[in-house]
Amino acid sequence: MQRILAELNEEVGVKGSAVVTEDGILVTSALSSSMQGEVISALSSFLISTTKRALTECGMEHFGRFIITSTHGKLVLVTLPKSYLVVVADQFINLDVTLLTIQGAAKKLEKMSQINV
Amino acid sequence: MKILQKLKISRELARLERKAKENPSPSTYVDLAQVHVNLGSVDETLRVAEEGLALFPNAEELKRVLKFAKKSRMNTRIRELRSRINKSPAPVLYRELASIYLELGDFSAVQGACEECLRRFPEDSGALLVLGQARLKNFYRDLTVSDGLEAVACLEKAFTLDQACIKAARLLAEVFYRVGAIDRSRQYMERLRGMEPDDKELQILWQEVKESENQGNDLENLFREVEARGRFVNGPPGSSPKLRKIASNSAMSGLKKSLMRLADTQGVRKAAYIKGSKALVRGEIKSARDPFLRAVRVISRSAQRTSRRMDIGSFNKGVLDGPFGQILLCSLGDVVASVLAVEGANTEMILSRMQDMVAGALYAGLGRERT
Repeated sequence: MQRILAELNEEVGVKGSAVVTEDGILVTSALSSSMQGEVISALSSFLISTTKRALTECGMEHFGRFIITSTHGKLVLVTLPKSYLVVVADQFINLDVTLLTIQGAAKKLEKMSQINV
Repeated sequence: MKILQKLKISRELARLERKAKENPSPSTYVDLAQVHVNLGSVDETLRVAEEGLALFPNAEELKRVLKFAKKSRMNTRIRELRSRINKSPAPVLYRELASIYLELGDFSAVQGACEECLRRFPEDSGALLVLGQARLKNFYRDLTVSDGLEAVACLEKAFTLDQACIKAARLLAEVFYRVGAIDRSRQYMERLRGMEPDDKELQILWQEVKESENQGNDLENLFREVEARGRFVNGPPGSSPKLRKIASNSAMSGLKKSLMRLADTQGVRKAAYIKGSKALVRGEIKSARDPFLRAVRVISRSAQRTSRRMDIGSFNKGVLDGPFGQILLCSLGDVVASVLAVEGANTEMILSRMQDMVAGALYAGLGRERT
């Protein structure tokens, strides 16, 4: 898992990545020193749970991917079987290109979790 | 500059231009403007800063870039004008020079240029107009009686010398209205209405002048009262609640059109514009109580909070993919535009329309919830 995240972090503009569960447990992470794993997992968990709840209320069950663009960065959340891949990137990242790598990493993590089960 | 270096810079410029279009943010525009500054291309810097400010009117750094670019351009022009005046002085050159100083906020330079011009060309209305404008600017800022009265004297003289000088008449009508000299303002307004019958701003001022009560005819006294009170008798034209409502209605009608256009875009099922507790909706939304609106509010608030706490700035855009299709969000301040689209819809185009709507409609008030 660490290796997959480390490879993902080599993409231009990616600042860090992590795998977190919906209840905020940090499964694994490859984050830069300026980012704290616990903070990223707690905030991701907050966003994931509120988004899921809001979607459920309007009959939309779950989401597969959530991309947030902010003034100084981007955040990508990808749903994995029992967890979420969280990618933090800078504002200049070309997501059209990097999304393929992110999806590729998500697929690898998905396979890995199936083997683990 | 070497060819390779030029190529590198033009690539960097193209990249930043693309970024500014795809993912506009104040910092992207500042970066782009900075490259133009480094290249010494003032016009391009101005263009980028103006474009950026149109989208992000409160971006302080962009304002600074704009000011810097304007100053650079004006300094070049000042040198040109000075050299031409030295060779062969003409009122039109002085007028331009004084106007540039005025724009730069250098009042003593404005006064110097205008006085020099008036010494050489005592009948030049242009120099009097610029001097009047400078004095008026100071009066509006500091409310000092002397500036106000000087401004009126310069502008009245400019208008006497040139009866076709609409600007002088307009400034006089406005300042008289603001200090409460309504009868005097009305005199200028009547002349202006004959000269510019289709001018919307004049129509607004005329409407307000008509509805206001004259506070007296002693100008000095009226200006003194303004100085003593520290505020004008009347606010700027167009600021009365009644007129604000008209302006807001017109902005609302533009907003509704944009939302309708968004809802008519191929692949869009629901479209909503939310400001605070109020919302405008179009498409497959039955009422303002549609759970989609609540979901949008909750998700955009969570995204905003997460973005800030993760130190990635303010949340601007969001794309949520799922079996339901896509939920697109665009947020600015307390305004959120959102769309529910089917899979395969042109996300970029929809987001760009949403962004235009949010940026352009920030000042529109929402009267009531409706479907």
